[in-house]
Amino acid sequence: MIEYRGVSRSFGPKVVLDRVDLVIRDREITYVIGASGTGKSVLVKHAVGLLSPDSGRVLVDGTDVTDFTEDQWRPVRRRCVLVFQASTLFDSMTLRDNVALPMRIHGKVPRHEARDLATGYLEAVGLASKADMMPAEVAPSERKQVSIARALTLSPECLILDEPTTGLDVVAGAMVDRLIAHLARDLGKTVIVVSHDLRSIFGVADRIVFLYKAAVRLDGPPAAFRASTDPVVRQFVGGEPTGPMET
Amino acid sequence: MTDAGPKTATIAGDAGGGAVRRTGRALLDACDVVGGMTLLQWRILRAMIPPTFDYDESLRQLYKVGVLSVGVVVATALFTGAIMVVQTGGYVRSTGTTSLVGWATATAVLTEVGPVLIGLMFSGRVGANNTAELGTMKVTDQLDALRLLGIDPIRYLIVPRFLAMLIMLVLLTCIGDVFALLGGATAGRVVLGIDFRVYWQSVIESHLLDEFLMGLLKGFVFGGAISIVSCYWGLRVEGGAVGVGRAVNNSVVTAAIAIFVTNFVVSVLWS
Repeated sequence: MIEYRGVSRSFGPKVVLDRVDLVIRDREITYVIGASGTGKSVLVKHAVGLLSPDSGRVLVDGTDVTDFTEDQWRPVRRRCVLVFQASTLFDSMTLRDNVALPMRIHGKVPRHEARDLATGYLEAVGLASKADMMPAEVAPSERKQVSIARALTLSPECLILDEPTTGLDVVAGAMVDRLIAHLARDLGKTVIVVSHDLRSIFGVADRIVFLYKAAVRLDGPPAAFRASTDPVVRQFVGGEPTGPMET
Repeated sequence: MTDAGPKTATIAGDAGGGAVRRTGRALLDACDVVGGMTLLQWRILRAMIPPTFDYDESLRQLYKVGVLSVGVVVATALFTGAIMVVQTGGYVRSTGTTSLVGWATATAVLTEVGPVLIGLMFSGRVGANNTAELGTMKVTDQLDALRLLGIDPIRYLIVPRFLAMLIMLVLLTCIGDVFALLGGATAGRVVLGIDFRVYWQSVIESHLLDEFLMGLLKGFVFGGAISIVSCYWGLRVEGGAVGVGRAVNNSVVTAAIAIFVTNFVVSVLWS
């Protein structure tokens, strides 16, 4: 469980999060949505220690991690993995070696075995046939899928995906949606997804957190989101270019 | 005139204050850089205990830093040795001291010219590349990705680079010494007509083990300095491609300064 208690964060004069209170429950698929620049990525980065709040506390599984050192964060990050919006694969390694890296480094398995296991993880995202290619040789969407496969090698309890379907074609996007659902429903993992993709949101989410003007505007299941009479929410769901929503 | 006096004084005062501010800022920046590098060195040493290195990354770095630099070092060394002999040619001819050419070349090459020039070439090729690679990884979030996978970037990325540069610059200095002496011998034969036997005899009889060891120590120190400097600037990159370019520039300049400063310190301490 990840808990935000009155978390505020500013970058210069811009207030990105303003006293945000939020609880991410275990084994749920929580979608964090909102217009660009509303602090969605900033919010999830606090859960893995890439950012610290200016004020407020962040708790992971009941432990206050707000003032953790880099060494203290390391075991937390193995349990709760964030996959970035852009691909962060290592250019000098093949896709297979990228995926094998965490298993190899953490010494769980020998090198050759890690590579074999990596092939299995690539298969899960439909890219086993490209295992020996370099990141530069595959499409950006495929790199993103490999990043997800790499995160899964840590067998995390919680997976945070920052815009996993952005830039993916419909089929690849559906494959990622199916993977997200499988992770939560079949494997009991907590999945937090930062997204703009309404098809994916309404198809997979258990719960939606809508950020607007540095605060949580709506927090509830997709049905509540659809039924909302809040004009800002209505405009976002309808994708209307004009309305009360300030961007 | 009554107005001009105070106004001129104010302008002069502003200019003076500005100069003081700029000097102060430059000093603070220098302290920031030196402090940051010292801290990085400490983190590297701490990450080496226990000594658990990634085999693949260490091998990759040893190959990239060492094997791929051999060509550049050999070319630099050959011409360095040759130019040492050519420059002394006129004096040697006029005084008839051709038997001292080997000694003079070897002394200069082993103690000063060899390690320093090879260090500078190494800094330009390996150091700049290292800064660019780390900087690009930083701006594309690859370093953060490592942290998010529970992998310590210092232990996984920086320690292998640090060790590879230490080890390989010593070995490259050895190779460079040999090729510089060969270059000197060849230039002596071709330009000055000095017999190979006379040249090599002069080198061997000079008993330059101390000078050779001092050169190797310099290679070791330069390797450490270049790795710290290049990693520091690479890890500090901010601002995309422009930031990477700026960091590479800073890295090359700082490494050159570090080479000259440490060269002076080692020379003084050794003697």
